[in-house]
Amino acid sequence: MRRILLIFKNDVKRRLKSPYVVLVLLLIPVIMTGIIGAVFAPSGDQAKLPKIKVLVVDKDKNIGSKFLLGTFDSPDLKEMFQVTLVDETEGKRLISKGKASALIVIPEKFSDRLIKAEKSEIMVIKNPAQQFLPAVVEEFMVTFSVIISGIVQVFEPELKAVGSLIDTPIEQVSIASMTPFLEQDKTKIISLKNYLSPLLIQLKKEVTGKKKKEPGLNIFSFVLPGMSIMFLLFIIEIFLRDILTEREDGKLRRIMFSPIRTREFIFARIISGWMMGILVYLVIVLLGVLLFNISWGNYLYLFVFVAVTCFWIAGFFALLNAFFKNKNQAGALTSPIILVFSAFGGSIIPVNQLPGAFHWVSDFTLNRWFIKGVEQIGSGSFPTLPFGVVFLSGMILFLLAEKFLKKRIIV
Amino acid sequence: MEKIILDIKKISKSYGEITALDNFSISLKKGEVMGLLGPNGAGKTTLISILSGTVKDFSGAVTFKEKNLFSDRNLKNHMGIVPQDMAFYEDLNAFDNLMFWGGLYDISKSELKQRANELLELVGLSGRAKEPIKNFSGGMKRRLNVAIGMVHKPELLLLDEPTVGIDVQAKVTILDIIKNIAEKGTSVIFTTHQLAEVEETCSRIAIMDKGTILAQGTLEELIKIVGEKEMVDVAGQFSAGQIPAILKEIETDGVDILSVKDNLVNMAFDNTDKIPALMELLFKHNIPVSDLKIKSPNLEAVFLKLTGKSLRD
Repeated sequence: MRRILLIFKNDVKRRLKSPYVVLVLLLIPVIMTGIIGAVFAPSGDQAKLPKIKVLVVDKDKNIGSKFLLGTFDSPDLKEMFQVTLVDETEGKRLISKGKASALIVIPEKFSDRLIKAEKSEIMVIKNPAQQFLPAVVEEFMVTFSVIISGIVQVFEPELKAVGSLIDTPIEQVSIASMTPFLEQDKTKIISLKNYLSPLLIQLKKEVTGKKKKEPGLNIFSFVLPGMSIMFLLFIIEIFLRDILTEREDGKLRRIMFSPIRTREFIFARIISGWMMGILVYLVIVLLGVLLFNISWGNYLYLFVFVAVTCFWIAGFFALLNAFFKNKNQAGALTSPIILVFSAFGGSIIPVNQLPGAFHWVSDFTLNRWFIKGVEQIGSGSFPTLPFGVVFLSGMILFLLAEKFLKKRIIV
Repeated sequence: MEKIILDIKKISKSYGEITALDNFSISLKKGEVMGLLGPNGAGKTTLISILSGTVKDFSGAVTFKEKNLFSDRNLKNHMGIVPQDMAFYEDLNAFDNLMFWGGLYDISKSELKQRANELLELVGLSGRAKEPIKNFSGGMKRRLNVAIGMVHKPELLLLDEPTVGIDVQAKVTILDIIKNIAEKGTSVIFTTHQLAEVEETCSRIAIMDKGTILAQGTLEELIKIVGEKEMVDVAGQFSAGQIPAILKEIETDGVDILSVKDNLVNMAFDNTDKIPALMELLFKHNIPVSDLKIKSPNLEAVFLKLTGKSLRD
């Protein structure tokens, strides 16, 4: 045990004297997570949509179109939409040049048709160059149409009566003839009042202090585990490659000339890679909290799971190094292996985005189980299945590595 | 009479069809420095690997301090190695390296620290003990390599070509260290290609080739193998096959061809009277001679006679 600790301490000392490779490999996943997160999860002012430019052609110029334009003028919608009145030719020219998100054309006699409860069409021309903003305008107009249609249907007789009064000379309009409609309206409004005031469904907006981010809502917490496991594989591989380097440059013979046992040396190398991996991942966890406000969930679970994962990686590369001829071969072959693991295991793209035929492959990658495990820890539960899979396969790798490395060291 | 500290008896080791060691036997007394001479592929590396425990499946026995070397791991605390490679961590400084390599042996930390400082002084690196080794010259690295091998005060030290590629000053330092530790009782096995180093340093010499010992003894004992002959080296423009044919034309009794290759022949003459006849013959055959050396018998001649090739071949 003393010699194992000595080798581990020596490795730590060496890495601290020449930390650059590990440092770079440690920072890459953090930087990549930052970039990916910044692209897909804008925050602060960037979260606000830009004002949606809407062009309106008002051919009606009556009560109906004014109601619609008035709606756009309400404080909330004014924040959202920038409405410009144009004639039809100018409107089509501007929308074809992409100067607005949508062009709304209110047809002639729109108000008359509403009052007569006749069908009417409002045309929405969307800017094809944009996807999201024109869809917002379309949805708004659909909602507006539903509301107006509802109102028209409820007050259809009254509107018809009002419509007939519009064409009647003012001197022939008697208050007495209007009284029945007003009474009817009063009854309808009173009965609707229960539904309209207060509204059955109300939108409650509340901002209280600093926004608490849940793990599932933080894009970084999705990206960092995948990225970090990929680079953790690279980092621990570098530590384990010492086995080959020491064999090639004569250090192994010198070590074996001492009273150290072969098994002790193999354990020392695997344990050293394992411990260094844990230390590196603790830094990644810390950076995740400090830079990306990631809530990792239960930190004890996380530590245990990271420890077993690093053990798996150390055993895996120790085993591979038992078969590699030299460090150059190891360098050439381990990178593709790690990249395949990462591609199929969800480090580069989420597994559910892969073609279905490849899903079963991902179950054979450490990356897949690690990401799954970290997700479960983030949601508050212990990752029993991922832990079991990684632990058992890690033990098998460790035992195989010990057996084959021993054969490689003593010929 | 000093006790035998290392006794290697009839070791044989093969890698498939290739025989690396064939009934190899040597023994070493306390405080003795043995020079192990052999061309590349003679089996020196296999011997060191067997002693370090990294090669198994060999026949024969190795006794160290009257015990089977492989039955008691603690015996390794009394053996040290200076490999041909610069086997240390270049990203650490000299002191840290000594502490690490010494730490692999059963030696207390305080003793190790003291020993590390003594050795740094001995090899002339005490002023640069905390400097990264990557800044060291080749000679400084070689001296550190030797110091690491001695950090745990071994009773037996194996040095595998410890003076390769270094300047004269560093070489002298290392050879002085070898002589010095031998005087204090450490036994040394020293492999090298430099015959002069062996002649200067070793109390006993073993010549090996193809995995076996061809001869061993003191320098004087070995020189007797070539007898009282004069060594004659002739350099010129000729092919390896020409010389034996030409020599048939003169009286060849008392003339041994030790080795011959294109443009150089090493011979041993009972007396130098036959040299003019040889030169005349070479001129007759229009063979230009560029150099002729007549030397007293030496280790090189012994090596050439026993192996038929020069040490660097």
